[in-house]
Amino acid sequence: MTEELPPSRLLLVEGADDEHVVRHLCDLQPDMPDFAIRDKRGFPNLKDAIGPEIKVPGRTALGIMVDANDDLHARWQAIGDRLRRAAVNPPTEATSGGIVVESKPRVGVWLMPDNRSAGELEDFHPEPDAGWRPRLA
Amino acid sequence: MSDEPAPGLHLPDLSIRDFRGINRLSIRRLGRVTLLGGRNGVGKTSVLEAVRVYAARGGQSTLNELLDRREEFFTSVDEDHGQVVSPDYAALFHGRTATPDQPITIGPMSGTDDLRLEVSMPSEWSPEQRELFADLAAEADVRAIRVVYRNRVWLLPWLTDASDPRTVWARRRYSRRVQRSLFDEGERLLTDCESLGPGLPSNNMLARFWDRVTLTEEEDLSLQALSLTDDGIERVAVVGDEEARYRVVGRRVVVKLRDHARPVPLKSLGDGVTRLFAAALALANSRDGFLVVDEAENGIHYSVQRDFWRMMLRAAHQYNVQVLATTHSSDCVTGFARAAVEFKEALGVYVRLERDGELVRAVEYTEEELETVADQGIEVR
Repeated sequence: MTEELPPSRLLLVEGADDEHVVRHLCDLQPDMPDFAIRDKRGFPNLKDAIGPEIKVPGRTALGIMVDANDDLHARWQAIGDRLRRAAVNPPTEATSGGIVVESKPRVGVWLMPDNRSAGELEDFHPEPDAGWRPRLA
Repeated sequence: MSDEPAPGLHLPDLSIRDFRGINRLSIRRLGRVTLLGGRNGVGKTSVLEAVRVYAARGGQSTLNELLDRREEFFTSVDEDHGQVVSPDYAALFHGRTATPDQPITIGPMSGTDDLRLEVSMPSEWSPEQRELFADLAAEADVRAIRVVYRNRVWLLPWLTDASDPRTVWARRRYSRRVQRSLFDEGERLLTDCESLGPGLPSNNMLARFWDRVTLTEEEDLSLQALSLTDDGIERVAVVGDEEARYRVVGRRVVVKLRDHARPVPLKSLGDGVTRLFAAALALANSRDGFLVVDEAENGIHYSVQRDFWRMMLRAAHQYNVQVLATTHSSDCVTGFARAAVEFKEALGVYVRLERDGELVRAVEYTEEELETVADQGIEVR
């Protein structure tokens, strides 16, 4: 009996809309690496899942995409706190290009819309030539 | 939920070096009950064996039993032409490289209370020790395992070539002397450690366990374990058929079922119910000691895993037993996680062992993480 192994590269999102948007963006990028997306149904679940998802056997990359909402700093703190508990050390502040921590596994975080402003997915407007692409590979 | 170690555990954490398949391993936190996962061959069973060796303080009968189970022995013939089995202690050492500079160490990470087993050559022995080995000294290739625990040191003779019957005889005599000196100590040096699995417990083991709990409150615990299945078991007894006319059957456990007039053998009801019963009895028999369970999920239906672990956690807490178990089953981990979150009095810890090159790495989960794992179905094995 062989069971399917968990995906080595996984993106965590807060809802079905986020998942659809990411899938659509990926379709526009011809050379996107293969990765799975998991809808965690809300930020509380997603936040709790960070530690266990980092520890999944064979995981090489974990992406986290959440809405900044009203308080970008608080969101980033909440995520950073969970990352540190799982022995991943992110910078103390979010940076405009998103955050990539070269840990084991590699961890990337994107706060919608642009890692700088309050807001959410609906405020995200990627510019085609801005070189924006998730670095999950 | 805190990351503090549980108070009163024999081993709040664990460090193993150069033992069997394990080069180096540190587990930073053990629970009242610790469940170990990970792929085949990563060293889960070696961890259980290490705990047994630690509890027995390197006792010869435990070492021999572990080696015997894996067929790590020489056979030879004694002076009466009887077959003699001599354990191959080299197999205890990582990579079988049993050299004086590579000792086995097992114990808490602080290193203050660890057990050390090392190869010892005749040139290092004191005159008294040489005297003990006088009968062996004629042999060219006699070594010993030096066992060091706290301020005590003793030697286990080790024959790398057991072909000479005189050496076999001398070894037996020496073993008895060593065992006596261990048990004569006023201070209690050994910790009890019962062991279950991966197969079914023998009738002898079940009968021995039952003898020690019969007509006590612990008897009720094992009956409660049987009620986790719905076989309608009302009463339990051990019957002896030693004088059976045609063959020696030994003692076995029989049960009275609600809908049956006559008792039936416990084992006729299947592996699951037998293992549940054995686990409860083993806990009651391990008061203030350790219990190790290899492949805890065997035979136990996924729907009773949570109840099984609830029983294990409660009883381990009540009897002050530290339990280490292995599993391959996600239902087992999920059931364990749910039970551990519910029963706060006893710390439940899940640890996955992973190969990381030459090393074995322990990935540790807090109870909080286990709850998320159970709720969201995240892979932990």
